[in-house]
Amino acid sequence: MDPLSNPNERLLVALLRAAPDAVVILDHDHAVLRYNGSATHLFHEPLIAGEPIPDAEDPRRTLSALAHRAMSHGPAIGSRLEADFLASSGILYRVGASPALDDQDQAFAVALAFHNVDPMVEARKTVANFVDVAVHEIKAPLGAIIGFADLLLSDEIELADDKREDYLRRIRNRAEGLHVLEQKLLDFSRSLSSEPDRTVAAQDLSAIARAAIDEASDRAESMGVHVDADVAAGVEVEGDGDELRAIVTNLLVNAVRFSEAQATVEVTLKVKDRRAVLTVVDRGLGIADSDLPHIFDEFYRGRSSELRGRTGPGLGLAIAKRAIDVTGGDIHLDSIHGEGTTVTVSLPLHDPEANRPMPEGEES
Amino acid sequence: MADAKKILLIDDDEDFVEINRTALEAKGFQVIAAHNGDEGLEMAHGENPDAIVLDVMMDSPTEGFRVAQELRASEAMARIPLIMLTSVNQEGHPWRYEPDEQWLPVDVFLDKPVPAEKLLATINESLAKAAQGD
Repeated sequence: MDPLSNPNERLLVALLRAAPDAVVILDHDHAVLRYNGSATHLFHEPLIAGEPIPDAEDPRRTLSALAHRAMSHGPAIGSRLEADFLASSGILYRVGASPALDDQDQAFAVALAFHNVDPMVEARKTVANFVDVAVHEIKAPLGAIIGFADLLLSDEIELADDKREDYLRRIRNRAEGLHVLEQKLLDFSRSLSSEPDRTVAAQDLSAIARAAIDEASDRAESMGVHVDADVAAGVEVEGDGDELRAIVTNLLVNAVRFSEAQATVEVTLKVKDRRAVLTVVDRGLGIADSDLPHIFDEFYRGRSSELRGRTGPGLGLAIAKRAIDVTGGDIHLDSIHGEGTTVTVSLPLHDPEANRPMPEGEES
Repeated sequence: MADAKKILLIDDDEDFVEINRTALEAKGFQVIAAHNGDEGLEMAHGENPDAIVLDVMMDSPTEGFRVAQELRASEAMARIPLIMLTSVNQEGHPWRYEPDEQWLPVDVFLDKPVPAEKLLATINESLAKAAQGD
């Protein structure tokens, strides 16, 4: 009888074909029973039905051992065993194994599914995602800039003076948005590199904060948002200047972005318990409870509908968090949806006594 | 102009609306605009436009699809020229759309950013096609 006359067999064939990951089914004696197209690329030797599966060289990490364990755990159906498998190509796979049981609950076969967990694959995915998000973020402002410029340059369209001015201002605003994005992408790419180019030294956080506040205030005022700053003088921390700037800027940009017109954003920097404490308070949209667990994830953007048009690429808090982590600080965020957000960052103060060589004769 | 064709733009990007409003008005169209799907549906039924230009991602990532389906389901809007704007690179939509009677019942897809001239040409084509069909 043609096995394909059995609907379950057809389902199995469809499933094997659909799976982008490699799948191999072994019988009780670990001989190949079925496999899919993706599996043929995973092994250097061809897979032959009825023959043993080409196995790993490391005897502690063989597929046969995994298959054996999965089948002897047979009765615990619904569970899956997982193990790492280093293919002869040098690519690392995470392999899931699950047994097939007969009417007496005895395993007669085992399915192995291979998922590529090579760090390079993950890295490529991150980069692809990064490029997608960047392209998407650039499209709308670029379209607007070109569109307004075309209107201003058109011979056929007569524009009143106030319209011309309005369009130039809109071009300026969208270009300004691209400038902020550029800075953000640079900060992010920098934070991704395994050994970022950091220059750690005593830094005047007060001066860095004031400069970042001045820059953000201009943008804020154009959106009708007021920035109220209270910055203690001479607060010194040890860190990288660019990273410290990125912390203050990203927190401020978020606070302004999620505020309504006429609102005030409060920024304070002070010293408390030998730490520099930076607080940014807004009375804006706040963060929905469902978004809170994800706020530091790269590329995560709030899902609430009122955020549409306000979210950026979803990097600001991820960048700030990384910079805070490497500086040895903490970030704490309190938010009530609909009422606003308070972000508190605490960084260790620069200790002039640290790293100083001991005076001679006092070595212990 | 008594016989000016009325175009409804549904898009949450105010700059996009302003650019195309100016460009289309210069060519003798009457332009009305909505900034989200619900506002757009209300205007479509209340203002009886001759063609609709619809963005996909507004309050939700697929709001434009919902609007297109609701428009097509109503008798008055079942055959109105519908031009949908997409970003192929949009998050969560990594494929190119094709018009599809059931799922995506629109006449034309355009990839953003769309130059005003291209939108104008597409609107004219769609209106001409609709006039032939009458």
